[in-house]
Amino acid sequence: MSFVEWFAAPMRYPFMVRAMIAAVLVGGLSAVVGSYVVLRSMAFLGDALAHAVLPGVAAGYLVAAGDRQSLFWWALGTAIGVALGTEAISRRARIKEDTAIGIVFAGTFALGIALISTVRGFAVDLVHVLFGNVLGVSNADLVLIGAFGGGVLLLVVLFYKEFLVVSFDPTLAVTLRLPTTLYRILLLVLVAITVVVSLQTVGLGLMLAMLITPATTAYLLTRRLPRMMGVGALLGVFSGVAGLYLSFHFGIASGAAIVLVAIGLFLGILTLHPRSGLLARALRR
Amino acid sequence: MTSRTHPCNRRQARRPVVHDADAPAIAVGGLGASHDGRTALAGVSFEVPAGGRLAIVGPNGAGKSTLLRVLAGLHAADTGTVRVHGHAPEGHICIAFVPQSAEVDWRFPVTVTDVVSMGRIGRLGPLRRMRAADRAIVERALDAVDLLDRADRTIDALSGGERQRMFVARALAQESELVLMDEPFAGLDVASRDEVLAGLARLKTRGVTLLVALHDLGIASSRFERILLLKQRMLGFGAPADVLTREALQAAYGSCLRMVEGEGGVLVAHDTACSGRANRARSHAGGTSDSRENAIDAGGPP
Repeated sequence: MSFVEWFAAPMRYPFMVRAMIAAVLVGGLSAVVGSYVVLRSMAFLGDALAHAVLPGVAAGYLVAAGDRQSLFWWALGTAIGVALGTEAISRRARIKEDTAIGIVFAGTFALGIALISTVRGFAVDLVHVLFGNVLGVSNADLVLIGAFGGGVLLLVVLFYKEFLVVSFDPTLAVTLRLPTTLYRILLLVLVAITVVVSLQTVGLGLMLAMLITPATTAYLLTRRLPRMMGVGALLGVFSGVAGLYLSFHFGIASGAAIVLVAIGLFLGILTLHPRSGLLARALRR
Repeated sequence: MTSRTHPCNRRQARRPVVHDADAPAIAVGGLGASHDGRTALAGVSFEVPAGGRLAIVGPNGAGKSTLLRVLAGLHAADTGTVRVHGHAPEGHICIAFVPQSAEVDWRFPVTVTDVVSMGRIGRLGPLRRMRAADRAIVERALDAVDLLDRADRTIDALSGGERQRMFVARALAQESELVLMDEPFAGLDVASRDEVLAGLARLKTRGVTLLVALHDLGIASSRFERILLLKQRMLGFGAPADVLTREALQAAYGSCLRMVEGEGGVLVAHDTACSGRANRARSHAGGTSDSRENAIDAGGPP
């Protein structure tokens, strides 16, 4: 198989082309939103949001009997509900935020499994929810990913300076009399939307990796937030495309292949970066 | 009584705060506040005129930070009244609060210019970008604290003194009228400390009211016209020589304090960290001080 053919081969299949488009959209989007997840130390919340989608998907499956489009809306509603619920619990009750997240996370996941266990024949779809099914992305899915992803990116750009100040210095945000709670909740909702549109690509089990790995790798490479988002998006897109090629040629599960490429890039930069890499530091010592 | 709409609040159409020209910059009466269910402040009353400089001193846990947070509108008072230019602090966008250095995430990927520009956000309003006029204000603020050559550095590359000056620049960019700083001199060497003090002097030339919580009685008495001695309750308020009396210092610091009686006054030596461990008394007079121990002349024959 020639070099060119190796790259051209997957593109002969329409489902692979759709998968590539989905991987590009999701890789870019989750790295941009993931930059805030990384900088605000919200990784646990991101993981919890992904898992908390399960009861929504299960309920949607019970109600709509497997209609894929409606599953998306059920997942979206659940994710936003959980994001707002966690915020409310950690603010009202005298509980630390990560404790509140942990309770909501495990509780919703258990509810999801309980609901699913009542349905026969759900096993295959459950695997898709857990581990993604990027090869099964339809044109309608692409439209949803594009529309919601575009909307999220638009809000990230429009409220860039507000999200920046709320993340870096929430105290300043209060003394500037900004509606800080509103911006914090909006950011949570954007993370929730990102999780849901990305679900079909890598599944809820691996969603966290797409949110934080490319953004963290970019953090190692650059020290400006806009550049971190840009470089992270490129790394996310590359991981998505490269992962799908590996999946196609070597028969690896697509979601896992995408995440492994992203992790590989992270480990490579972590050790080999000429200035701050572990190798350079060890040599300097 | 004359009133005017203050430019600080012109974009806050829904909550315009009209400055009371006759009111002092800060008027606190019978203030009580708690923190995590414990009394942090009780019966605190004082006034600071516009452009005044006040040092808030007291041992660890005296309520200094809580007082600053109440004045900034970040922490609710339990009792009493707090007025900034005649109004509750919550409506002001001209109050700059500089947190303790340890509370800032110095690994956040932003430059000095980015941080100083954040001071403009309150005036820009949502969906508006910085314009040339805003960038000029940010540049002037950086110039005022001598940080122009650090403008494009990321904040993790700054020294302790540069970090504090960056926040002074942000207060200038915010066009604040009241600046509240929590321990700006903690951990600074003498040279950095003097650079920060030079930056603070720029605030004074602009008529900004400045309140600083600090441990260093030497800086407090030599660089500030007023001192508030705090230990939950107010143990003294006024000119340094009037406040830092033998009795008041004893009440505030107790065994953390050593006093040596000499000709013309009482020499006070105390451990600024007041950790409760054995304290060394310093017997030399004058303003020579390092970061941990200071000697000041508290004035007045015993």
